[in-house]
Amino acid sequence: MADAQVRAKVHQKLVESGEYERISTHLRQKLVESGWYDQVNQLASEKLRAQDNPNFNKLVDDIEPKALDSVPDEIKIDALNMIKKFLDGIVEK
Amino acid sequence: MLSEEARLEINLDRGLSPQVFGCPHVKQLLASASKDIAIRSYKQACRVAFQLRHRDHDISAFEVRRCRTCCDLLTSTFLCLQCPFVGCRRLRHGEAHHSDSGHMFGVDSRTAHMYCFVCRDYIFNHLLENIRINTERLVIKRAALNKNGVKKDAITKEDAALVEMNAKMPPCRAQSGLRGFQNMGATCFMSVILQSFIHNPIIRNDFLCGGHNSKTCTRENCLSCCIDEIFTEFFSSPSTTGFGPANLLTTAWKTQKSLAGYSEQDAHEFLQFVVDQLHRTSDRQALSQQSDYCGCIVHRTFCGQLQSDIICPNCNNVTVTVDPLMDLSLELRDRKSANASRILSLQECLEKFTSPERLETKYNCSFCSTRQEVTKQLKIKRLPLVLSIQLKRFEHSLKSNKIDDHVPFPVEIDMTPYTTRERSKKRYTYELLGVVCHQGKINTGHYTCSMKNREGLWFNFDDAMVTLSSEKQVLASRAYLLFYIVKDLATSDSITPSNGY
Repeated sequence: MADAQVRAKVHQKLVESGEYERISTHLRQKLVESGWYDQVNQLASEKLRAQDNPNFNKLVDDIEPKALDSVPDEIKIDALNMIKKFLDGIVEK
Repeated sequence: MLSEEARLEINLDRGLSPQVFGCPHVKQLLASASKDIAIRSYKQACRVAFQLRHRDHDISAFEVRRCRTCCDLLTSTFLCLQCPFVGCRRLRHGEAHHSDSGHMFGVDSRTAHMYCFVCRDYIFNHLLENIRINTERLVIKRAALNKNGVKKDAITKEDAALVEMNAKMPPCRAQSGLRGFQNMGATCFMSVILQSFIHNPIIRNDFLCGGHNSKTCTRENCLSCCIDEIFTEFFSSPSTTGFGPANLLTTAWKTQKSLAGYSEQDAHEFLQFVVDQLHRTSDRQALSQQSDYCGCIVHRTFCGQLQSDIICPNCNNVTVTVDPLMDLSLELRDRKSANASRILSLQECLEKFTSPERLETKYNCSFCSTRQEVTKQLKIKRLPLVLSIQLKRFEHSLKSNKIDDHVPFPVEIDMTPYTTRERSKKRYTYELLGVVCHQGKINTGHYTCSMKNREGLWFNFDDAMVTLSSEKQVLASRAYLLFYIVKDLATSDSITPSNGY
């Protein structure tokens, strides 16, 4: 099966099994608990106030790299493990 | 980015700012002959976006918002306003569609916000925003109806017109409800509890929606009327000077003589007093003593259930008792542990509260008829909407002593492990709503409190002084009373930890 097809099938299984929702909710909670969400929120507010003509895309370009980078490693690893576990369950080696 | 031309147009347009019409492109659209079609399409797009929230296992809800170019199912996308195309944001397939077709507008498939591909920005337009909000309400209502099948009383057009004609919008400043209380002689123990009610969304909403009709109330010394007066005052007057709650004080003194006088009292005791009085003066209390459920605002807000299990070590029989729970009083130290003087964190206090305890006095087991040292375990059977927690800082033993140490507490707490459903997959998460602090010695001290407002901002209340605080400051404070509110109160999908109430 071509890569794109595999990817599509995996996404489908993720949603149908309810796992997408579970992982999303878990990840969301961890990001909030760790204070990451508030940090990024604050950074976004600061950047917006500094912009003369506030623009969404400009803001995203400004803060996305830093935001992604500042996600605590343990949260990244935790989410990746959950995804890996799911994949192990559905993909033939 | 607005061009000079666009800026000039804005200035000429009856002096209205761009916030009114969003962007020149959407303004043009809504002024054109295509206005009605555009609005219809927008409504439909909103419905698609909001329905996804209620069907997150339903693959078809995802399919309908999948990017048509890269076929990615999970990425954020825009629904084209003018054709069935759906394009993703990240790989700019939405933007590519705009270049190809000239179609200018996309609707965010998750939040239903309008996006202009020319301005490359989300835009705010009053008309569209109203449609968005109303469609969300409609979708939620329909989803709820499907579950219960119960219809609410419809408000007639005449009723709505009557209200609108005779109502006056409160001034902007009043809508925050931010105001201090004048200290009328060591009354800070009262003002902190009152502030905790004013900024408690469940209690606030109930009073502001006419939960207690003080105009028709005939009770003498009615505390509900006094609280209602305070809510009316705080949410309709733009005044920022400290409010002197004279009526409340008089009523409180008349009801409980011990509150009279100028001595400092315990805020937790006052909380219990107010809760008790609001229950007694409520129009919606339980009709009988036997009734399990009381509809008064304080019970609806604070009442949970605590389960007490008594286990006989001989026959393993478990005697279960369930009692109403209005607040949790937690010990701050574990005297039976190796380090008995260590101050526990909130989670550790809760853990200790709900862990099995061997009782030292012997009891007769009715099941196996032997006398045993039984084990007792407390667990929360039903969690209330708002958890009221008292940290037992004041020890009234031989010498009255106050534990002044900092007790760490989180901004969010998962209460599941302390309930009877500790192994449940569903998590019962609570978020911090308010903190009452006590500074000073046991009898001569000062109370202040911090509450989170409807926008998620923290404010500090010190008698008549109200100041902006921060989550960091609040978490560092020496809490005496804590209020946690159930996390997903609104059904909105927003992941802000401080959901706008």
